[in-house]
Amino acid sequence: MNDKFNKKLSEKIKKEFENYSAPYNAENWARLEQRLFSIRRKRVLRYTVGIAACVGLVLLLIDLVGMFPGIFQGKEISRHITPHTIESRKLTHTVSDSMKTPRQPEGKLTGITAVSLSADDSIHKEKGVQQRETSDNIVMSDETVKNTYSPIVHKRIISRQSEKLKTFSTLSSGIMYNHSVSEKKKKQIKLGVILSPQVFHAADDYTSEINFAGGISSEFPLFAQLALDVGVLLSSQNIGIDSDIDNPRNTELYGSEQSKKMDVNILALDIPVNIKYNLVENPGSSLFISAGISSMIYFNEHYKNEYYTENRLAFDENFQRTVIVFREEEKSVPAFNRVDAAKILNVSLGMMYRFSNGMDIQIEPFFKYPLAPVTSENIKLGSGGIQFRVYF
Amino acid sequence: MELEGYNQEKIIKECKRGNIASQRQLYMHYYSYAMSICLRYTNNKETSEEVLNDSFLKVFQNLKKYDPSYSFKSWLRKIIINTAIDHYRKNSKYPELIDYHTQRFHNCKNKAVDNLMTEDILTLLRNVPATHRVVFNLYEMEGYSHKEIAALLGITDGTSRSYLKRAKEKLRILYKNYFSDAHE
Repeated sequence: MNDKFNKKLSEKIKKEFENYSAPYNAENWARLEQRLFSIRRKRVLRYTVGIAACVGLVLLLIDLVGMFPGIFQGKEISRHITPHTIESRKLTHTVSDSMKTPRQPEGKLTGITAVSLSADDSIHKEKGVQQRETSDNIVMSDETVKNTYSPIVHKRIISRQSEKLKTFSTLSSGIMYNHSVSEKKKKQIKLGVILSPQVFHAADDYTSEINFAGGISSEFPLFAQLALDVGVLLSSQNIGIDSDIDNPRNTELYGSEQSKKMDVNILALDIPVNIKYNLVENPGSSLFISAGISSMIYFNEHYKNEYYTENRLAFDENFQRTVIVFREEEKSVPAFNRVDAAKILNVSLGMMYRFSNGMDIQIEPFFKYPLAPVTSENIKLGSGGIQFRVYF
Repeated sequence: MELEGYNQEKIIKECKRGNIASQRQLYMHYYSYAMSICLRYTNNKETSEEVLNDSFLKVFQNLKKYDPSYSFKSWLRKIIINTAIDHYRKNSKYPELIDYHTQRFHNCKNKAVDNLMTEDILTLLRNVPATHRVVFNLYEMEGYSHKEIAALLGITDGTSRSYLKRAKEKLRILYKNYFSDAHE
């Protein structure tokens, strides 16, 4: 009996609403119209900001290329060696010609020209100068060694292809952004901010610091699951690199070994252009992969190189001596001196979370692989980290 | 009820371009139909209007996805139902306030089911808990299967069946209390 009643009631409800006629309410339309206008305004604003950002970026690149035509070619850069660079004169009188000057890092610098000599005693430092006795017959005091060295300022012409660094790393960080909840928002240009902690890496031994990058990013929808992701990030990069330099002239009795420590401090503009593909789409989140290239514009490059040269001097089997020479060079490259266009490959996998208020948050672990040497020192500098993006 | 083929095509084309006059025309034309669906899923008129406007907003923003080879009315209906379910999900964490004493019943006693008015039916539906009401509407009115309802609401088939049974029981009790002294 209950079933019969239930069926009857259900049919009545269905029938009643099929013929239902609700009076039109103009106030409801007014409210909807306001919402439509508001959405339209936001859309126009987003497009305007996105286009302005792109135009600005293109103008900046054109301007830079115009201002620095040599940027994309090899370029000579002046370099200063710090005054406490040490050179052993005394040894040059006692040893063969091949050992007159401390050997330069192999393949690092293509040429050295002495420009001036300074008599400033204040720059005579004991730092880095050591003497070791390997024989009872000859003793050379610290004082003697000290007086035989004089500071020299060099100007060096550096070839960009001359150097190979083995190891390198860094860390960094920054802010970012998203996708929207509704389908409509997926088709809109999105603008957001990026924050990214990063670790930089090079070929061999390196000590890295945690660095941060931050900037803005725009996402332009292309097709169903594809989007173009363009950004501008200000990135700081601090890395220390240790490398050994082989010396082919080493022999059993004499020769030298060199090691190099490089401290790199860079402030650069990273301009990534990536294609993003949504692998999994859910109402509140999505999983995506992204790949593309990055171009770098350098605001400031500062390099501090420390060379340790160990000279072995042997007069015969029982009469040997070793002198370790420490030399320090500093080099600063002015802003906009170099642009590395499309030399870094970007790969990332990320999750995006959509919120009902239209804000999207994106967490994106990434890896940047250098396709070619970058920076004025031609370092193969890559990086890895996590990008946090917030899209509004 | 459906707009004539040519007119509808023209209006939808204009709506896609963002023509506000055409959007208003479409809104006005389907207002009554849309409201009849919204009212069944909500427990008051204000919420119905909110769901209706949210639905039309989705319609205007997704018109490009509409396939003209299918009925616009069916597409609209689907959007309204999905919006109503979204609304239910959003508000399901808050307890629904039902004031039995302020509900209006017309000629309360000795009223046969066939004589119930739309307002009476709405009053009955609004006194059914939201979850049960949604399941009742989806199954009885829209013809969804329990499997489909379970997937939509994130519940099991069994739970859907149970909610439907409870909704019907509740409606029967409400009808008995307010419109009849005995079961029909």
